[in-house]
Amino acid sequence: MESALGRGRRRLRVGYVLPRLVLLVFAVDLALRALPVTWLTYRPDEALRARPARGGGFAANRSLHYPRGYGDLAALANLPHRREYRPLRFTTDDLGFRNGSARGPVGAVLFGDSFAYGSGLDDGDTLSVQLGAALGCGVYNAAGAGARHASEILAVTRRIGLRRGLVIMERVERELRTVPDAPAVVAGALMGYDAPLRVRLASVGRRASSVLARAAGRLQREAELATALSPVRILTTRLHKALENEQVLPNSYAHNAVMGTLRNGDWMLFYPDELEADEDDSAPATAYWTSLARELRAHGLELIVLLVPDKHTVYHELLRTPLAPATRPGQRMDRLEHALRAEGVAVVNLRSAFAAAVPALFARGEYLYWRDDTHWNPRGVHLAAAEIARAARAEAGRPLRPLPPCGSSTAGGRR
Amino acid sequence: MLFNSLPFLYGFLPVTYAVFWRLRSRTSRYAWLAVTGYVFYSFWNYKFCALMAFSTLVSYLAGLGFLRWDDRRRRRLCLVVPITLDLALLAFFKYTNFLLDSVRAAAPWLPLPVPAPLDIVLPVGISFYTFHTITYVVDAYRGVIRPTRNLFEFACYVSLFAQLVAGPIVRFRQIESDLDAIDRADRSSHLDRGWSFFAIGLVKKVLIADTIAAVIDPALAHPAELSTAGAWLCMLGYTFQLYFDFSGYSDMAVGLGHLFGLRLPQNFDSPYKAVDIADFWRRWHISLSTFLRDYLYVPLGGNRRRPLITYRNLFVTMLLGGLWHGASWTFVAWGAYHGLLLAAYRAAAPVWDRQPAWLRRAETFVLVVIGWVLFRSTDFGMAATLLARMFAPHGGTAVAGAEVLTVMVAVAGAVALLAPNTFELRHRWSPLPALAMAGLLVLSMLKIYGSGGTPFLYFQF
Repeated sequence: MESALGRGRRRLRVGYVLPRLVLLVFAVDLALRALPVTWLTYRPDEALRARPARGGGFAANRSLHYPRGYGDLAALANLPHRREYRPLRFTTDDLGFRNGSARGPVGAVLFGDSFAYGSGLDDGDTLSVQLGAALGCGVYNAAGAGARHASEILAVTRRIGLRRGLVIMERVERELRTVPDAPAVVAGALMGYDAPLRVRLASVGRRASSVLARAAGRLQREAELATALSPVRILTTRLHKALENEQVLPNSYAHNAVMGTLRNGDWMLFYPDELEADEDDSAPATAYWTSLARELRAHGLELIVLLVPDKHTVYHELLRTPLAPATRPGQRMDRLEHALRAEGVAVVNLRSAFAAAVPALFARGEYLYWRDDTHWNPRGVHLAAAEIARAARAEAGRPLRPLPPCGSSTAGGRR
Repeated sequence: MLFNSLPFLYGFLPVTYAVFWRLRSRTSRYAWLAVTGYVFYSFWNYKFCALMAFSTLVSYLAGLGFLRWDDRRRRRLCLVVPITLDLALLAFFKYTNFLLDSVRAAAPWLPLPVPAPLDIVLPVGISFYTFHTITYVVDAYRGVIRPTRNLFEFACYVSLFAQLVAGPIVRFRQIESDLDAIDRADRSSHLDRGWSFFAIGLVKKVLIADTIAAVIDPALAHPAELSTAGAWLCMLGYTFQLYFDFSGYSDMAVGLGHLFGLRLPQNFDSPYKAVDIADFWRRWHISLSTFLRDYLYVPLGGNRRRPLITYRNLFVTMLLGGLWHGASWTFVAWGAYHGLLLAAYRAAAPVWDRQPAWLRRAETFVLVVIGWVLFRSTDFGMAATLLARMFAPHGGTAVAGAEVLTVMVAVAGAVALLAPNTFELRHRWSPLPALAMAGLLVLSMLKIYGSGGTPFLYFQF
């Protein structure tokens, strides 16, 4: 029989201690997940996007308040001295979209990504709220869920009971490089080399491979999410970032943002993707939007495509030193705008309106985008809302039908 | 998947370990290790599993051929076919674009059309597992080993996850006895040694190599901005980063082997304590240098003929050893540099060996550091810039994190030059060192959490 001393000695052996220690760290990581998520995130949308409601973009029926939220670029590039703190409240409804609990008549619904749902903005400053005021009509914020296809859009409009009205789809300039409706490319390369050597799998094999790929994709997503939401990871990353202050260690996150200096001496951060050259053509994107507009029209919905310029497109002429080779940012938006108009699709290209507003604001040291963020600020949203309202009214009666009278449907009609 | 990653530590390793020790028969354990090897490999690119399976199958069949046939012609066929296929795969995936790029660079002088580079993905670990199969086939041909009839045993040997992607290059004869006794392996007898090796390797990689890399990588991205002191500091940092990264990986591999009852060979024997360049190569990446010696240098004639032929053999062996490391002329130059050093040492050994040991050690270390300039540089321009910065006084911008780098170089230098290496330790820890190791393990894990696992340098080869 093993003596207590023998057992004690065995328990101090590395072969006994170390594997248990690894499991203990794992257990601590799991246990810490019970902590409130606000404690670990710097912005409410970051916290609420992790586990969205089914069909929604965020967790349902939550209201988070961050008194010291700050810009994504300052966070991504680990630049704490560039943070511009602002209070942020983020409220979601029972469908998992960013709408207050009070529901009124809805005449329009807004789709898109972070610009549309209002990343970096307080509840009262989002585009849907500002647009509602400008249109005089309730605007439901359905952004953030990644809806791209008519079926996904119609699923939302059905749930909120909107049978006739406007669908506004926001797309930021840098996202135009990818065609939203591009079919998923089925990987045919068996060994990873070039097309001539590819082997076409039989259809059964393809189906099986597709099921496997979906399962593997889901597993990978879950694993990534589990890692992303790990409190130990978040806390140790913060510690790591604190050490990477260019004094103790170089800042390995710095490449996530590009710092520019404006002519008035103000700094401004840009997302590196904004600086890439603008080369591709707009034909596939035009086909996508045209087809989407046609499908929605068949269901009584009028599409307005909202093209939001990148921050660099708006401010590149005001930079002391250019950050990118001499190109004309915004060309892709202009090409797409003209192509869509030719196809009879309503489009609001904010580039000109922003370009016209910038000089006067710049003279006062005011901006349309947060300096520490890739997104627009309330001033930019306000201007965008005014432009959309103006375009909607101008288009009314031409290809667009008149705006539906507010009160014709309500956002609560689904239930 | 990396050894220094959370999915490996929390998922792959516990599952592989638990199932392995539940299985009782030899073949089921072989099969389990082979399957987990493929699962492990598929985390990089599952498509390349087919390539490894092909290489495995061809060499296995060649082994059966050696068992069946005695006539010289057929045995030669069993030798030549798998080696040719392995080298052809290696050449295609690793060197095709290198060749095309080199021809293109010479195109102005050649009246030939040069095809565009191919879109080839280099399969991780191909340089290692093809060498495994080559050693197996050659040793079977030479009669050094008796090939196995058990496909699972052979597949387990080739795809053993512990040594699959970055070695050590284990010869079949080195683990044959452990593989034969895999069903009788005693779990508890290997546990302490396995975890001790693994934890030491993890600490070497995560706390030392990765911390050094965090400072030197940004600095070496702009070599022309370095001062002379900065260039030396960065290259000393790289010297220790490479050693702690690769020897850390090797230690982890050895530790993982122990957890499954397999004793993998030593790959590093305190190489920076070497007193001459030949001694360095007896201590650095031992599994590669002995491979090059036994399967290239000796067949070329070794040192059995006149001195000039010996020098040529040394030079050619090291040149090809350099090329094995990567499809780049800087690696070829690095190999040539070491080939010349080895030839020069062979010629001047009587003079060299008369110097005091500390001086020989210091001189060898400096020569090795200079070689690492070629090894680290992405092109000859960078190598020339770095060497100019190191050997001609220059001012330059301060290296961000220079204080941390200095401390890390001092710590790493003390460990590499003064402390016993992992194979010299007894791995029987008294409570206090065991607790210290536990603390370092937790610190390493927190660092993995905070910065994510960074790939091992030798994965690229």
